[in-house]
Amino acid sequence: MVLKQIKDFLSQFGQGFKEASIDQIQRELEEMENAFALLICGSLSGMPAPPAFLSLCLLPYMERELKIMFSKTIFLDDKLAVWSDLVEL
Amino acid sequence: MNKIFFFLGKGGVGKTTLSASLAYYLREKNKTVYWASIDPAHNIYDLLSLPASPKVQKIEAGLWVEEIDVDRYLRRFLEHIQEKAQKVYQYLQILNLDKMFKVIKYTPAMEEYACLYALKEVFKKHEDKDYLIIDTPPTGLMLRIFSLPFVTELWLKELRHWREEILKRRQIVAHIKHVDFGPGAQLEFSKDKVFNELNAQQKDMQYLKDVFTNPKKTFLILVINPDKLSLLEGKRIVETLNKFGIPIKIVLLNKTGHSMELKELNFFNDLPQKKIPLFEGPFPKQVLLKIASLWVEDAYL
Repeated sequence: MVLKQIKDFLSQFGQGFKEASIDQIQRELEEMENAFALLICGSLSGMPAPPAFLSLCLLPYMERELKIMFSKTIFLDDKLAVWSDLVEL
Repeated sequence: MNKIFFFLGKGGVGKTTLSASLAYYLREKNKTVYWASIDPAHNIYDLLSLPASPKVQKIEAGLWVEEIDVDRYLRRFLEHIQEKAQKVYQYLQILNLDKMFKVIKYTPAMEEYACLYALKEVFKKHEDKDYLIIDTPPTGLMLRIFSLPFVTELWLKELRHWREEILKRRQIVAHIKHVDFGPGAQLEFSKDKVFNELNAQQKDMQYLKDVFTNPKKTFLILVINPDKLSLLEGKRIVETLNKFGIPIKIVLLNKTGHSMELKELNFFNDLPQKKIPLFEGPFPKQVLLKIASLWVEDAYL
């Protein structure tokens, strides 16, 4: 009984570490998706851009990435809120 | 495997006339020929004294002619994208796609892509013909068309790698946290539409690169005149295409007879050359065949 409690207690630690590292990967993923969309729409923001036809070919499939890009752009000047969100305040 | 001849050179050097001479020569040899122009200022039908047509026309047995309407290909490409994008972004009322696409038509490099798209279709559609003869648009545009598959491939390589990294991370996050990434977002490489589109584009660009650089399939014929500007432009064509590994098969020094002592001619000394004197129009079949006899060798065919 006591052993089971200790085991559960320790496994929760493990789960906590796992989730923290996955959160990190998830944030990295969103940044990469944001950057991917920025790159595809680079000509709109003055970045080096792939040929326009390539951006057009990918446009119909970029819904998620564009949403992330727009959301990141909107909250660009509210870093405090983003950080608060990251540390779950 | 059929063969493709491209005629390159400055405007007015005689590309259309020389491409016509080759088309009729090949017909005399009983070969099937598709002869087309992708120059926005077409003049194949003017040369043949026939009424212009936007469609492929069989002007005699075994000889098909087309003045390719690049605008039509561009319109079709944009309509296709618009249709797909509207399905996904229909909730975005503010995005007026109709208006947007009218503007996109004039985006830099769209015309080059439309030409490339047209060429790809033409190569595949006329695979059954023995020879394809392509009369090209002015140098600047044509060089950009030739370079597009090489430049685009660099972009595709990077974007594909980036996409792979994104999908790998999506899979990790989904595996542990069971996150819903929203409509259309896929985890599998084979189901991700962005990844598939990048692969499809890469395949197309590879196909075009293979066609352009295959010396057994594609023959580039440079037409120059004995005048300084045409020679300098010809030099630029050779140098630019060399960078992409696209060789010039033969240089046709057309409209000779004037002074031939231009030092700019020396640049072409290492390339096979043929001299063709000035022929005044009109150009009936007999004249075109006479012109062809001055330069076409069976070794090219």
